[in-house]
Amino acid sequence: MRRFQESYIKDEAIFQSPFVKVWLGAFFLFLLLFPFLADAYLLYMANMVGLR
Amino acid sequence: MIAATGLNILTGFTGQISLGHAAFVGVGAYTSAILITRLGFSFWLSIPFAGFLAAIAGMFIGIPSLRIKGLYLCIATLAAQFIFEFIFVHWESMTRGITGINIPPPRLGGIVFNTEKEFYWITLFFVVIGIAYARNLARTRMGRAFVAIRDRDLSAEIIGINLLRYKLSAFAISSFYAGVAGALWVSFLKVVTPDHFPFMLSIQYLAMIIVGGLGNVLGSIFGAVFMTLIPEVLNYLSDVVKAFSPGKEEIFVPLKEVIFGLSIVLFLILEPRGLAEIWNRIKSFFRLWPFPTETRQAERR
Repeated sequence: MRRFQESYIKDEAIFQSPFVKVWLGAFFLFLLLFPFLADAYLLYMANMVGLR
Repeated sequence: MIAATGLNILTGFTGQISLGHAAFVGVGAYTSAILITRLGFSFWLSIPFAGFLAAIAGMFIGIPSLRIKGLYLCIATLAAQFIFEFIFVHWESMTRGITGINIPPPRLGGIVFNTEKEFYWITLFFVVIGIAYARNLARTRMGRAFVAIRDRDLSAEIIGINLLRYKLSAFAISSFYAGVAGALWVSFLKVVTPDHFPFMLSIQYLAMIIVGGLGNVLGSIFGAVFMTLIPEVLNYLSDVVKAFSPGKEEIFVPLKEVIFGLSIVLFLILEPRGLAEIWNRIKSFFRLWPFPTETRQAERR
């Protein structure tokens, strides 16, 4: 697989590869589902981490 | 993460060490609290005001940064920390001193953001915007100017970077982040007192970005997670020890401070580029597998 960019458009892309896109999507999905999976303590910690 | 990202823009990208970050968080927190309780502002409207007032305070403190550098700037910002702490405690007609101010939970239409679960969405929203802005800032003209100032401010000035403008911008953006973080924090805790913004908090912010990685937005994320979770992990460990041998858990109370200090020292010596660099190394390990990673090769040379 090519590990370098061949155009400026590719170089400026937010998602540098399909791999990044998939994992970032999965991560955001986790962030959206997190409050439904976690208990109050974990949510408190998540808020503290975010607001620090 | 929000306040740590702010400090990373100032200290990590622009190289201006600040020991007064908690004070700017406090300015934002008090601005928001006073606007909500006295002037009847909504939570959402108070956030930009909190950010801007903190930014003005930050720019004012940043003015000496043109003349004084390094450790001397450190002491100037340290002074700011104590001046603002003094104001929070003693300007009682405005801040209500050590009794603090109680704040109602934020509302949006009919929704009240009262519990941790509901507030999580507010936190997530601001964290995503803050991180995205910081990440992009590093790629702009301003971000490049910040890095140039960090690496050598005299050279930066010679190649045409206006030091006054960019140093003050760094202070303003950093304090804006701090102010927004402070405003969100008080609405989450529903109370604000001067005890929330001690000097130790400024040190913690600095520790976060050192442990996470200076000059790396990802570093502030890792740092904030690490520094917030370490005390919790130690609490959990002390509970485990208590269950097995009661009485021994007492050593964990002082151990918290020791581990906190030790982690900063060890990161400075062993991994000066922080957790973010470890993360990058793990990524390149998997990307280049089965070949040795680039960093390892560079080290051998």
